Amino acid sequence: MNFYYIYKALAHPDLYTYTTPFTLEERLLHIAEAKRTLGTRVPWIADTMENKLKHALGDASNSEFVIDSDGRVLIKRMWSNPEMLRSDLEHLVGQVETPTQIEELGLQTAPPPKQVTTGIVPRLSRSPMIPIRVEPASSNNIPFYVKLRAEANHNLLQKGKGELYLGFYLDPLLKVHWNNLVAPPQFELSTPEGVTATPDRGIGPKVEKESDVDPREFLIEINGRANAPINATVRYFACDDAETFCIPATQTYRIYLQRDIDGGRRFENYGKNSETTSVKPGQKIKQLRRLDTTGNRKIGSD
Amino acid sequence: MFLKMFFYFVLLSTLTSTATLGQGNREQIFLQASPSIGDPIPELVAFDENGNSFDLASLRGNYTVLVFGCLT
Repeated sequence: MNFYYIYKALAHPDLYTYTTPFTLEERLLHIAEAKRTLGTRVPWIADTMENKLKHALGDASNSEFVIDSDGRVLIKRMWSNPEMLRSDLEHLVGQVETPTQIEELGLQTAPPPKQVTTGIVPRLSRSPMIPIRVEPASSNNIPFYVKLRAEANHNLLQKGKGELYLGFYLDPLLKVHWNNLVAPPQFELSTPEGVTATPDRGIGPKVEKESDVDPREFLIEINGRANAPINATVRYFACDDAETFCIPATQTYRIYLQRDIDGGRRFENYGKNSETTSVKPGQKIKQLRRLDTTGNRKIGSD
Repeated sequence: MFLKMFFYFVLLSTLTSTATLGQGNREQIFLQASPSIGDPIPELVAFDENGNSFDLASLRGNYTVLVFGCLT
């Protein structure tokens, strides 16, 4: 019996500050981080950077498949279910006489990376938006320490006029921080013919603390459609956490006004700057009961 | 032992995932977009943990459990 995890695109970028990898090497860093934090020794398969496995196997975040020796699908689930999987495997290969207990594994789990300084720059408050496709373009032979996340609202994608969100996130696995003793990070946009961006450039806030790792976020008004991408260039000063270098960096990205089906969904309700709140099942029932003003278990339009 | 570790991770993944997003629709999409029961898994090449090519065809010969996951 073989067991593999398949490492896929992040379902919730930004959670614990993890960012979407741009390269296979960065995806492999994610796998190493997953092994470190989970303490698991189960082998991983890295999906391609085009997310071919994810697309070919149903596009779900935490699905599971049992494959027979001919490579055919015996069982599939959209959400992995440990109890059902155990039952399935017992049915296939027989019961285990003395099942191992979790405690016996001695799994050495570890927390996510501790960031230098966070919570300094307030997060942007905005309505939920749709992730759109971003490609790394150029980085002057240094890693993309800054990962650009771009999102658009419905109007922009449907009507060609609306809001574009730009979030410049430092990749925690590359262990760098903003150097706030010099000029703040700044960006500029180059739009294709027929498309305007307002503003088409911006500068991050001046931060008193000498370093931090908070994302620098901006909202842009876009007007117009084009197949060609918008080019975004960011300039910043980065220092590594071990204090072995501080360098100026210039990086360019291509932004396509197309939904990124692998872009995941940011959790808006974690951390200090909540933008939306999740509703627990019990709360949802209470909300529905409040709408049932006559107490007849029916919700009317009044 | 391996099996138990696997279950442990799967439990963690399930707990950290959001099962609240249009579950019915997503289930339908998943059922339609994934190979049917009895169908072969797609012939694709991905990578192992070290970045070497990993052909899904190499899984033949044994029962295999595949679970998708990520850091968040």
